[in-house]
Amino acid sequence: MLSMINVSYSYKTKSKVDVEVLNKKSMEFEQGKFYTIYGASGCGKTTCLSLLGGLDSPRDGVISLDGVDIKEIGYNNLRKNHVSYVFQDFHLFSYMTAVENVMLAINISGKIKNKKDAKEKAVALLESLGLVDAEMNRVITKLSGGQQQRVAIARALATDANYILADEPTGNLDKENTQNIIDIFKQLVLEQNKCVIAATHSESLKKQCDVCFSLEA
Amino acid sequence: MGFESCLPYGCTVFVDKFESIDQVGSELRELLGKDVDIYNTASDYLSNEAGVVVLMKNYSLLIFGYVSVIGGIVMLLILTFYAAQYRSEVGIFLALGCKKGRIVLQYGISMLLIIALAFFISGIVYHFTASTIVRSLNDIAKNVINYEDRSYGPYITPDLGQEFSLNLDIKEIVSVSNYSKIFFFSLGFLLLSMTIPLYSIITTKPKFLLNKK
Repeated sequence: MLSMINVSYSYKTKSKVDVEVLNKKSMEFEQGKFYTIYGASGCGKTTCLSLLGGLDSPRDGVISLDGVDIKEIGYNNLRKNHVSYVFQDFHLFSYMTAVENVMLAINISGKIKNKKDAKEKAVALLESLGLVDAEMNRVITKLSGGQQQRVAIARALATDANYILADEPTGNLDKENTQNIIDIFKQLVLEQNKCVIAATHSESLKKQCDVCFSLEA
Repeated sequence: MGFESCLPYGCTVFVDKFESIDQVGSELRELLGKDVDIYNTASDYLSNEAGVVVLMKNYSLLIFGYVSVIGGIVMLLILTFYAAQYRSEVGIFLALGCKKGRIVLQYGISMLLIIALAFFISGIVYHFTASTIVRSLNDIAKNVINYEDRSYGPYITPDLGQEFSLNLDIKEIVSVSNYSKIFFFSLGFLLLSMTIPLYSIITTKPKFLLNKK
């Protein structure tokens, strides 16, 4: 279980003013469920995901995984083995192909050393998300938004992490692709017992999740 | 000792040994009497020659130094811009679970490859152009000396310059020790250009690196 216990977070503006984003928030996330963190822009959804994934640290409170503070686990270890990200802007390497992007994540995780095996796994993941051969071997910039989002999800799955943090995963997609992505998340939760946590302001995503945490600005 | 007749009024006396010039001058005075003006241009000539050579050497080294510093600054700017582009990538690597040490190593190796390539290219350019440049300096120096030669007294002494040889060796300007200095100077610039942006990248949290476009 990934937990956020009494977490507070603030940042300083350019004029040195403290802006509080989260104030003593607590949330728990279990495997086998699809969560959304719902709220308007600026309410702290992305901040929650950043804290859960160890990309930033809270001012107060504790983030824990299975009862262990993630500081003790190590942020690097957390991101490598337990948690993976799907970013709103995808953050894929534009000069690499879809396969190469996924293989990079496999390489960094260190779970598969052999390049051939890594490529096989990358191809299998991309196929399971609906990409065909031609698309897999295209450079990222030649793919559509929906295809890039699938590549980003495949990269997140490449490390076999149990917790997938998705920041506005449908923000840049049309209606059809939005539903496709939601279906993929549901499938991951049901078939692979993953925990998907999506930060969103989308009503359709909110309605289709198992648990919704609402934040207010 | 030799004589060369130079129209219309005098002649040039050439002496084999520099040390004998004063003695020859005295003997000529005794021989030719008081109505003759005897000019000894050798000492001034040598001083001027030495002065010209030293000046040219100093200027060459100065230009060399300026080019190295400017090249180093250009390299620093290029590497700094490269590091700025690298910020977002570093954020992605960190989000994927890559260690900071590995990122620094990867970045460092890519920088070293760039500087090695730059050094190699500049080495090739040096190899093919440095000799030509030094030869030109050599020719310019000789022309300066010949010009000086013609300006002494009322006599036209075009052959005086032949007595003095000038040879600028490329080793005066570029040697192994100078090249080593340039290499370590460049390495210093590289480390500086890496340290400044890398420090900023490594101390920034991954969330903020990812926000940089």
